[in-house]
Amino acid sequence: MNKVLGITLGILTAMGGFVDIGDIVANSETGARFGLGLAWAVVVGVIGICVFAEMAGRVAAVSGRPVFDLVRERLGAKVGLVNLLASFFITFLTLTAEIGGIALALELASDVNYLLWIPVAGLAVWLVIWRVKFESMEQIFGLMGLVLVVMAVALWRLGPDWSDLAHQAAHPAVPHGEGHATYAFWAIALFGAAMTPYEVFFFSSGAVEEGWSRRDLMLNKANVFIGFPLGGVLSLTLMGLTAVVFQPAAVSVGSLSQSALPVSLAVGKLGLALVIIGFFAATFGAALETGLSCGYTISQYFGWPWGKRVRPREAARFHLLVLVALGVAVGVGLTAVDPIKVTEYSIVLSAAALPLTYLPILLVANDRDYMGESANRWLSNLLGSVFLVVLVVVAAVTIPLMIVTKAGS
Amino acid sequence: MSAFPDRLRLSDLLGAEICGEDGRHVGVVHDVVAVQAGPLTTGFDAALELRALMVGPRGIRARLGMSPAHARGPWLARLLALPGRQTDPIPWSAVTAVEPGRIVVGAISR
Amino acid sequence: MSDPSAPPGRELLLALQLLDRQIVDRHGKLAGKVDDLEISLPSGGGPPVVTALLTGRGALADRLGGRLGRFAAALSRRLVAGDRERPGRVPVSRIADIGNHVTVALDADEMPTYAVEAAVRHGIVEHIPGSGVKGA
Repeated sequence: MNKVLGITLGILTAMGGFVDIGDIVANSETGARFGLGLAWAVVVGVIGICVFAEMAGRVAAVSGRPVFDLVRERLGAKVGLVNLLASFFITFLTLTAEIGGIALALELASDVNYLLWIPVAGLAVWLVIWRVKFESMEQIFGLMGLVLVVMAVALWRLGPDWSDLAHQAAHPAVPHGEGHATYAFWAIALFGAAMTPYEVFFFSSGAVEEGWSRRDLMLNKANVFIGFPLGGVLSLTLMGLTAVVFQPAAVSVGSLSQSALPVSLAVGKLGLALVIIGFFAATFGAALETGLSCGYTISQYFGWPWGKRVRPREAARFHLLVLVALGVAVGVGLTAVDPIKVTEYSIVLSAAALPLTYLPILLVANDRDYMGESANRWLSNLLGSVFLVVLVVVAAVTIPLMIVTKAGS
Repeated sequence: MSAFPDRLRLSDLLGAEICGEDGRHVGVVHDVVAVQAGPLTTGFDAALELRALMVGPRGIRARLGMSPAHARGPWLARLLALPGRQTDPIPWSAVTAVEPGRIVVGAISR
Repeated sequence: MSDPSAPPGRELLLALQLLDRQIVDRHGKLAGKVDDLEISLPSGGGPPVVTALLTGRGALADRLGGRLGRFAAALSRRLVAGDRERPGRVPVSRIADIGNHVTVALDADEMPTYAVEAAVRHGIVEHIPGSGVKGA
């Protein structure tokens, strides 16, 4: 049983990475506007994150050092600092969005205004980080998020034209009424949402928290190659649902309740309850990941003790960082800034910072001093290098596209 | 050596310009080679003596604080190393003066 | 203790292999990064020697330089009582091993950077219930 549960790190990371508030928004919106025409962007993103997460997990298992710890060594202190500032800012922005997302899910469940839920969400996330064992945290939220499988049930029950859906996915085309620039923008947003840096920060730090060693290299692969594609399938299912329900009606999706609507149409009240639980679990998981990553990034750059595997008093600065980040996130959330908007900006900015995050991983994974015989073989290097080129291109066009398309409207 | 600052740090040497005694620009310090040799101290094997300076052309990498050896790995990463034509290390015995931002070297067999 | 596998006369590239590396104490606890190295001329003549690792207390800010760096360094030194002039020093004699990280024959508590961690621990974190319980 333990072996099966051993992949919960990968599942939790994938939940937070593929069906958090950013993905829920991006997948719902693109499904409604482009059908499955942008499904390929998610698929490419899944492959990319699998390649790099496997490397990051392998590095953590063999050397005991998580990704961000190595950024300063590999890029130098100056470039590393730029990387730190960018990564921290984006991770923090995402944390703010996720706290908002938790509050929105709770609003959906309770009819109590989401603003009232924001401080509750912040406190709950902090309590879990402070007291709940890392492994338990993974298992609870990872498995809870899996109830989103109800979305697949809903899609099947809606009885869509499967061959039409397959055709849309396999022959990407810009539909009438949408511009090419907007199409490109959303492709990047989906790709960026699949490969957000905090996923590898969290996954590699989690591997160290779990005490992975050389013996866990197969476990690493299982986590990556089961967990992440699972997350990808869930996010594509959501895209399919909104494509089937909203696209024909030319309705665009702007709220969480709209994202949940297809499931309640197809499976009724039980389905709605399950999807709300799933959204809650996924956004909570993402808040945990981003909250912890706010602490991981800074602590690992400066070499401070970090992590949940030591007593909080032994990693005082780390825990203070997380506490302050959560506090400020709650504060920002309470200004009633739209969490969905914050999300969209955070995804796009992530896309601009991707090469800086992934280059050090590729470098260290090849370093025989660290990795010994577990250094990259030719396939990882080939895929890693190809993706790095893609990431540089994406990073270069992201911000101009965002300006030109006014953030995809 | 004619000049050596009281409190020197590695960061003062890294990125410093290397000139010949005639003022000719030789390159920029990318790294410093040190060797465990010399008098034994308790705990660590032996004192860490500076032996040589690794020098390269002025470049964005030097300003970023990355040495060419940082870029090992697949061909893409080695692209980062391309612009640097690695010159031979300069032995410390050739250094005649260490000034802020500048290191003066005497005759070297080059 | 000295590393028996390291042959005498082992060569090190200081920027690549020592600078910006993680420092780990004798118990395996993380204790900062090598922010800079102190180099001196031995009084008996001969080439300069690395005399200490510099870590924390403004060493990194000094190195990154510029007005912002010097301001940050001064601020960091003022925040914690102690030697106002100098960054944290770990004498080379206390280095136990240099591998992919630097192991020192010290307890993290004895290190100069401990002061800030202790201040945060005693000032804030310890007051929150549950701070002594392992969360993993």
